[in-house]
Amino acid sequence: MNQELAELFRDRLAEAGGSAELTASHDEALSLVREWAGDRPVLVDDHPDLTGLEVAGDRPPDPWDAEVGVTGVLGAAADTGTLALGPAPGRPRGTAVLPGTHLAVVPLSRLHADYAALIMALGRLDPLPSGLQLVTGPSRSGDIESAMIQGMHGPRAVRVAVYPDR
Amino acid sequence: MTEHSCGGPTDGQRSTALAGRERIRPDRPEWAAGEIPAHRRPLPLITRDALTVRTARPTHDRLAALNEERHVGTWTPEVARLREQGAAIRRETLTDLEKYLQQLTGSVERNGAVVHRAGTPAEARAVIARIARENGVRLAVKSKSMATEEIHLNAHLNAEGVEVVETDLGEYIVQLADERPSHIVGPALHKSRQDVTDLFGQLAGAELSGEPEDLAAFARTRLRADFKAADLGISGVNFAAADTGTLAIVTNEGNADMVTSQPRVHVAVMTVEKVIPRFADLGVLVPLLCDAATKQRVSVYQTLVNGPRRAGESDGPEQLHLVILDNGRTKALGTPQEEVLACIRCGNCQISCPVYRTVGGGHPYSAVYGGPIGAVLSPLIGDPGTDSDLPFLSSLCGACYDACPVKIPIPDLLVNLRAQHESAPAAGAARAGWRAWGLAWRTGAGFRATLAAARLAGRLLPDRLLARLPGPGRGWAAGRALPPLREAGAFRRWFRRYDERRAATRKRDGRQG
Ligand code: SF4
Repeated sequence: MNQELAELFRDRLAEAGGSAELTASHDEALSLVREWAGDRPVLVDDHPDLTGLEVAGDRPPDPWDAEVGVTGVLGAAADTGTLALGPAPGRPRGTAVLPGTHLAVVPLSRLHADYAALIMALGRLDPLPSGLQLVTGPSRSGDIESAMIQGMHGPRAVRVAVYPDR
Repeated sequence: MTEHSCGGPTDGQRSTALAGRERIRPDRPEWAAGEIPAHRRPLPLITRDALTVRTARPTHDRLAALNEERHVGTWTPEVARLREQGAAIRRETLTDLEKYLQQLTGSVERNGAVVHRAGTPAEARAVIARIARENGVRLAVKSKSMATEEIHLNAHLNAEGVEVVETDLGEYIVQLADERPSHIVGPALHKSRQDVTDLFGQLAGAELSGEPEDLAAFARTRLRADFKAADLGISGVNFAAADTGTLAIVTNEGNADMVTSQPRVHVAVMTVEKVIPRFADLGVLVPLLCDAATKQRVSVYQTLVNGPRRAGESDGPEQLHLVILDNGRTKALGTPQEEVLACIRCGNCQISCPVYRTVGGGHPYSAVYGGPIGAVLSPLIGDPGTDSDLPFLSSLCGACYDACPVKIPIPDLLVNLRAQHESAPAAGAARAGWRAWGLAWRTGAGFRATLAAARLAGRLLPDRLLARLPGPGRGWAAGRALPPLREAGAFRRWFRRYDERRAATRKRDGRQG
């Protein structure tokens, strides 16, 4: 069941222009993220799911100069390929939108079957965070003759490592 | 070229995105302008002109292609289910809108934001201008919002010395071109790639590549500088959940995430009907909106704002303000027209409409909202009597109803508004005229008398009478001519002579036979 959901998430995120890898463990997920980030200037959120992540790149003094942002998630939706993030100290809103690449790790326990279930789960958070960012693939625009432009204001690439956590 | 040609703000300007704006040579009909002229020409004349402008045909073709590709008006079984649920949710709040607005206000205030209720556009503008003044704002970035179009916010803030930059790519294009959005979701649907290349080229003072990717990169670089420098972020609201006070903003570009997280003040502007009962309803309404608007399962970003930044957070606004605008909407509650308040602004009815497509999009409607939704919403908002003729820009074919994700019976609403227009005092004089004409022609004597009067008038009135009409009448008269009145009754005279001749012939033939 979880495996099927994970595959659906991967396929739907790919349809939205992003990509996901289904890994066998948290460690594997983190090493994929390290590889993806390379040595580019990077923002890494202070998130329990990222504990133990070592990236080669430095944190730039100005977050606007980062090329990669790494986040955990509050939840995800399989049928749409959506990630849900919430700001907190050490987890600014900018991590997922300022850099050109957004990397995230998703534990299977927080992957919901569909968008409505994700919304229900977020609505049960008490207290709600000061904001919620729902992200489905890379930023895009169709405002010039409906041509699909990837990477308008937000990231051009969204890559996710999914891992089993129970 | 000049020292500005590489872009970057000049003296007194803080916006990078708008730098070089003075180089743009406006190329648009007057009815496409950002500010709608107070006394617009009659719709039949504007739409006649609209058919002849350069952009009309290509825009029609683009809209028609979208209508085909997206199978507008048909729904997959899954979305059809969402449509039933969504239609019901949107009517829940209409039974007691004020109750939900009160609940929303309480929730938003508990979240640490300030709520401002505005009855009129003037009140809304004043509130926002005050917030800008109190915070020493010079530069504002805005994510797409039709409510702020409705209150003509940009012009007002400019007059207060605040530069406002539209950050949605389509909105940025129409802002530079000094136009209004021609579609509520795709503001620049009427612009070709070449139009955008020319526009950005003029702005840059340099020749630019016409590849959409390159054009977008040009805009991205300039807008990014403004996201970073702005003191104020202004956004619309797609849905506001009464129970949690959550303001949901739906985008694909990610500009709402920037606008609501980087500047130190965020002002969200919503119209009263955007309130929804529950946070959980987003699970239905967001996918429904996105299917109708862009045929996506969900858009790339839903930005949910639950309040200003909290202690320890390093971004997000220090202050959050919510402006709730009525602008005539609550007048519709309890009448059949209240259905229009269920609208979720997907723009599908516009794409589905053969009239909207043929006239090249929303500009010729000469209102903030064009197309079927505009024809039912525009007469409701603003000054009474304004735009009451818009419902006639429809063939009543019903495509808009099929296209509407929340099942608003737009054709019925159009018919109601047409009836109202006809019974308005302005229509009274015309009706009296028709009635007098009907009475006069009920008798032969009356009919002959009008012909004699017309012949007399034809002799006394100057030939070019219509060309001399004053004021707005002149627009109507252009291209029209009075019939030659002194020939009134000519057919009857000819027929009488013909009849006499025939009678004479018959008499002669009869004698011979
Ligand atoms: S009236 Fe219906 S179809 Fe038209 S914009 Fe509103 S929700 Fe969409």
